Amino acid sequence: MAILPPGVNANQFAAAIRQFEAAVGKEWVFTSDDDLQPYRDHFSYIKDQPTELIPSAAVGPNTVEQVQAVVRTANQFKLPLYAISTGKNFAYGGPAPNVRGSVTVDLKRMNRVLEVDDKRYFALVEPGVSYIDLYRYIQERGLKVWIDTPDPGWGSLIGNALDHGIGYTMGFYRDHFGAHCGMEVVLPSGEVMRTGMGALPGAKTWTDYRHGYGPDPAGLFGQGNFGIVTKMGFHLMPQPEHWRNGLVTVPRRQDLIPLVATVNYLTDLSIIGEPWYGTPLFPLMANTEFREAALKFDESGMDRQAAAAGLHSWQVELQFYGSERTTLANWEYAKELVARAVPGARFTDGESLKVPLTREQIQATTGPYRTNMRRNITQGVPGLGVWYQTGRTEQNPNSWNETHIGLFSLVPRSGEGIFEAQRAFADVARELGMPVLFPNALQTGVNWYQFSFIMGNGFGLGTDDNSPEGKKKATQALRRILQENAKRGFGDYRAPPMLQDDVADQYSFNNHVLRRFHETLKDAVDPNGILSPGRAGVWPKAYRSLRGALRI
Amino acid sequence: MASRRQFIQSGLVLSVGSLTWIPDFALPTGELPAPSLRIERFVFDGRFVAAVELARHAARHGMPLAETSGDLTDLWYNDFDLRWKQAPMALAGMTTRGGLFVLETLAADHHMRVVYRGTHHASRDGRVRHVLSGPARLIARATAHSTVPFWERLGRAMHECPPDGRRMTERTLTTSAEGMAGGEPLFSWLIAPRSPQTATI
Repeated sequence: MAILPPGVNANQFAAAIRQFEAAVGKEWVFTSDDDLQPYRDHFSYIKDQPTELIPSAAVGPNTVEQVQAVVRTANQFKLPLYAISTGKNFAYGGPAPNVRGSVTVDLKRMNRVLEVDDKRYFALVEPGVSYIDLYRYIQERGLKVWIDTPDPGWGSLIGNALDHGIGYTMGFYRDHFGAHCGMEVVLPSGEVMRTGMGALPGAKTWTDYRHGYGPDPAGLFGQGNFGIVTKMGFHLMPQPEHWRNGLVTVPRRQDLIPLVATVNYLTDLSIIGEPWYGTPLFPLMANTEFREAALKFDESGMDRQAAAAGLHSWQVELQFYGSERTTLANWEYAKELVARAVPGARFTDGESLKVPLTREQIQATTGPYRTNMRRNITQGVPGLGVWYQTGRTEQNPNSWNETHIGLFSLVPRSGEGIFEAQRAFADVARELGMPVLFPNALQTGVNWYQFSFIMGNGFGLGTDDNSPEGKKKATQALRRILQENAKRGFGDYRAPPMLQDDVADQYSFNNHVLRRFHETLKDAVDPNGILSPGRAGVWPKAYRSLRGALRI
Repeated sequence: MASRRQFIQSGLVLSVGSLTWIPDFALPTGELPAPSLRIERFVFDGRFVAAVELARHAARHGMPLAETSGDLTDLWYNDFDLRWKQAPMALAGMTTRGGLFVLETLAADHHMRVVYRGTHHASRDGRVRHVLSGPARLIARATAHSTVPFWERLGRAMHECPPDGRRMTERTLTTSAEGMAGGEPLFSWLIAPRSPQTATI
């Protein structure tokens, strides 16, 4: 299935390949079908279709100079590149490019941890460094810093941050791009640029102060295609002495509003780590009366049934980092605030543990209350266990999804925001004739990103139909969900390549002025359009005709 | 990563949805036999009777066992990651699909690939359908008519038959429950260094 990059003939491609080989070594350039299997998206909805987003070749540079040479060759032959770090972001397309036939620039060989400082609390890494790699580096040296890891932890720090990935500890660190400090980038021209204090030769503050001087272009490289990032600094959380958790429950549906407001206060004062919201009411869906009330958003009906069952309506697990005394004091303060805001709130002490937790403590699944919290990620310990949790469900008896996409909408960080989103998502599902997989009335937001809720909608389509036609229908449904969500003011925060145009379409204020601004910049700095064309819906002039090409 | 062969596997992840990923091909005559494969660990998911049974037979043939309950983090961090950073280490095992996916993905970063794959799925009639793909000798040994229980046959075949790359095939058979009582499918597999190939334009 050998393919060529668009607009490049076989002779030109062969010449480009020879130049790539001269730059990085023949053994690090791959063109055979077998060699290119790793660069496919295993969970693609268009897998094995003529439209599948696959590369024409892959190149593995080991140094910044080699990346520069690859970029210069791409400019010479006007062929598109697509840079990946470890390529394991399987909820968002994995290593698949936006343009079929792109040459993948695989940065996995650039896997050096350049510096970690546990007094100024930062790390400087290359794109091939995974969370597991950095965790091991820190543990081997006994450094008193934590990573903030996504789940699973096999992805790249740089790759995850550049895709606006998130984690699970204290608020500032959960926003991985927000926690970055300084980057080095190979521009489409082949030049090397450093942002922040890295632009001042000899500065020792590259990983301390992010803004440098003047307009900060760093944001252009997050979910962007303005350069290939070859180094990135990250602020790291100091290792705390102690960790504590506790459960807060509130009796009535409307109690969610004051509960969220109080938790927001605690979060933004940096008193708590990530709060985990939930509800014990899912089993009540087997109760006909509750089910009918939930599907109709009959709040008094739901409250009545919950009370009859002796269950609360909502809960939140709080977690505290600090010393034993400060975590206890903060938990007491949190209880005081919630009790003041929500009559009838109840509190259950969780565990109070000295950090670092033992392996047994990290893996413990029992405690003073039933918890949904995956403890390793609250401790900055990367894992692979989340894959085994993708177990069988009634909708998927084979326990494995052939297709997998994460679709998550941004929702205001309030109880009112959650309630509005619940109804909106239920309306969308009803209007599109989709099956109700879970009661929207019981859905809560996640607080991965400190200042906003994120709520899932649409990716659990509950189909076992992995035929091409089945996948096509699922893709069409996803596209309509994105459109309907946008009409109601809900936009997504990440997307795989095959849906990035659709998500970009959501951000249409003033006739898509944001996209037009991005594309003006793109055409200026990347006139041949060689770097990841189409990423996040930003299409350079040379490839603009491909916008929406995958819509089916 | 020191060599092209090592890097080829970076990200080499085969389609877990396809059961015919290994083509049926034959190398020209006169090829040297492939070296024997030394299996350093047999990974088994201890939650499943069939996996425990296959592991038992693997152990009889000298394969060191590595048990998991589904979460491969500890095995990876404390064992395989460290070993694979030094040199390729062949693994065999029986796990859920998720377990195989994790190891297959990580194997690709460490110069390895799945060279044998078996899917074992119990049906409602109490029978188990096995679809085995891999080296012809291994498949032939595992699927030969015999009174020897299936897991014993398979364990021996995985131990005795190296992935010589000369002929790959796929075969399906049905056996009695063999300790599988419905539930999710299980996967037997061999992960080994990939044979060197030359890329061409």
